Amino acid sequence: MTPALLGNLGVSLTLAFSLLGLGLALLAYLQGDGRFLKGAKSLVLPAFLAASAAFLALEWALLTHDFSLAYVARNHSTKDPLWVTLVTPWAALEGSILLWGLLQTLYTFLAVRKPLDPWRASLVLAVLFGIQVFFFGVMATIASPFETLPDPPPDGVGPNPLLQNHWMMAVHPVLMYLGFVGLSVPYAYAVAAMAVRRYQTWVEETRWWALIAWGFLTAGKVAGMWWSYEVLGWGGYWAWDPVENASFIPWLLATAFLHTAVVQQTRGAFKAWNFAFVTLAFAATVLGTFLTRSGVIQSVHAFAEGPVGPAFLGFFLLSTALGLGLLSRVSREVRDAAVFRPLSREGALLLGAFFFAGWALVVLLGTFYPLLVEAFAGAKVSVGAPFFNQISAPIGAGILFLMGVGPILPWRRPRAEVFRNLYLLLAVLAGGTLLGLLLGYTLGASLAVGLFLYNLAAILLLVREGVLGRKAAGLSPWGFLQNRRRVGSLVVHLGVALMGLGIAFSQTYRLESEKTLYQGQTWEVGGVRMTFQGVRALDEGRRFAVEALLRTDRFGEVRPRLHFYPQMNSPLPAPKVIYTPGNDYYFLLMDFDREKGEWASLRLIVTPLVFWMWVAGGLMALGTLYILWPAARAEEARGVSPA
Amino acid sequence: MRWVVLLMAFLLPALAQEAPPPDLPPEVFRIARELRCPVCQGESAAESNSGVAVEMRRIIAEMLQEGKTEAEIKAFFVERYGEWILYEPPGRALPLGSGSCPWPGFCFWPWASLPTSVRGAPCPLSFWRRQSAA
Repeated sequence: MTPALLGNLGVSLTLAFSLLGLGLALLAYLQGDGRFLKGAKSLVLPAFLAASAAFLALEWALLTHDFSLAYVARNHSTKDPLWVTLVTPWAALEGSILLWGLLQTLYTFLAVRKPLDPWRASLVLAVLFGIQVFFFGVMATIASPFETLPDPPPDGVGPNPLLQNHWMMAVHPVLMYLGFVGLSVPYAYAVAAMAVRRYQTWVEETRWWALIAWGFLTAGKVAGMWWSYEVLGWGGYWAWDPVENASFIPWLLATAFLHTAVVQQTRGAFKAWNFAFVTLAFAATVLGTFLTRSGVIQSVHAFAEGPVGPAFLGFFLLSTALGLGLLSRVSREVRDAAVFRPLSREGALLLGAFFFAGWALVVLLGTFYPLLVEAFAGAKVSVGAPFFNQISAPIGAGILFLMGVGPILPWRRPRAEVFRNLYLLLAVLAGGTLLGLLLGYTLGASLAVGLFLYNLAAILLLVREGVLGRKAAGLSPWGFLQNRRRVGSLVVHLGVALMGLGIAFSQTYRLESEKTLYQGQTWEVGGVRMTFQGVRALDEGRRFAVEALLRTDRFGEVRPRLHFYPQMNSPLPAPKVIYTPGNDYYFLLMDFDREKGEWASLRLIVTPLVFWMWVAGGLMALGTLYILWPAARAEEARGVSPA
Repeated sequence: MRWVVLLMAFLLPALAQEAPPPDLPPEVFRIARELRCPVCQGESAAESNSGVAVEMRRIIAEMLQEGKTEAEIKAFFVERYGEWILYEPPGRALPLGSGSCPWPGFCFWPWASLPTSVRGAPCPLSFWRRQSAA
């Protein structure tokens, strides 16, 4: 038994089980026969086990330095530390697809363990098996992680050094994939609900899955932002790079769905919106993979150059056509008959959905625009951070505004006492903005202060209302904490408000400066005084490091570094970041005197409130966890009961 | 140590140093952030550490010292590389108004809520759908 054999066996078996499962599930749907459904369900676990075997085979090959595998030869070296070796499966394309496929079988397995509505079960399974067929089909044919080399090299080059520079690389991709793949379950539920024409109950079950996926996506994105901040050495966390945009779009659509789903749950409205959001969120994950893995976005001439490009494009078109085709078929039946008032919870939620969908559309357009212009007009244009920032600021402000007022508004119609709260909140918003302006901040930053205080006030009002309501009913006020969804969503909203404040300030007030210092020379910039004391070289085996010794007045000794990897032409800066609640101080060594070590070129980036963005990310993840944790059992119980 | 010697032998000619890099005040980065690094994938001239970007930052710093304005500096790079070098090509970027596309709805909201608060006719949710069917 070799890793290649085990791996190929695992991939082929998963493909076979998935094909068989797809066939049985479709038969179960068409014949309405429970025995076929039982057969399909029994294939879920074997598929998961076979996929796990394939994944373990890749780990095995990496750990035993089996360079006869092309993937290992290209992405691994004997000098890699253990943790780098363990995370190498997702350092390149084929391994990432294998991880994606493995997580897909895991989600299918978990989805079947939850009680499924008998009408939809067969189609849910058919869709999930179908997705598995696609991924393992790709692995079995055009992007095999277990392709062998005729004469294996004695050692490889190792993964991209950017990926070895921070432990976050072990976490971020897995979280992102857990989020992306998690969106397949809502998609399967939506397709099944539209096909069997049962439009109401699917949304409750789906919301739970969508929240899991959303939690992972959020945590994954924040982890990725942190990685970018700590590793890429430019002092930023978000560059509006196509890869980032591609993962932002599904997040936006999933967020929209989480909000419109509540309306369907409580008022039975927005059915069509929910189907559309779920379909598009899943399709956007596939489109994102196509965009970023096929090479299409760098140049039109390399259109679908990579082997997986056309496959992913086809899969995207198929899954979108399936979802939207079914939606158009049932569009008459999911039409909303309810009347709604704009100044109500559902009014705010609908408007919020507009904002999220609009934002997703604009990001998509901005990402594709250079491609379209080059294809049709032959001109090269650049759409980058300035454009995206400019359009995202008003949309983000609108969302922050709705986030405060939405939960305050009651369903259906506003009551008189609500207006008192509304005026209070608007006063806080105006007062906060004015305060910001008086403190000398820019209009945008002042508005961010106002919006943050306004959201804080809205959250406090809701907590107060919940606690007072309980007291009036003679209940313990702590019971409010048992309203998991309310409390959890308030924690998430607090995180979002804090994130908004952090983004506004870090984007507006960023100081960046560079200077060449000679030994003993002192530089005072951004409120820090530093003295350059010399450079020091370190041999670390797989890489070579040079660090500058800086004595600072506020943070003691600071040592930014440059890392030289044998497989890279230019050195990678390893910044030294000092986090403080006010400003982050980001020290970078840009260059140094290679002959005598007499001078070093240093860059200092001072960015305010970045620290709070990581806190905000933590709050968002914790809030999601709080909603999901015991709700799991309650939701399951609800699913079993015939209601 | 053999490793280090090899590395240094490899690096020294590649990165032959004449003089230490120039000092770059904050304005340089502000301008560079709006210029594309011509050899990178979606990085601005402020972020990239490629040779071209380093050179661009040096030129910006020099031109600033000579008293050139931001517009003149940008024009200089446009002349060399074309409008593509600008992250926001004048008149060619997506209409910036597209950022406000959800805003008509936003303006509509308080207006539409007005009759409700004085007990007017509620607006049907399927309003937009009927419009599109017509």
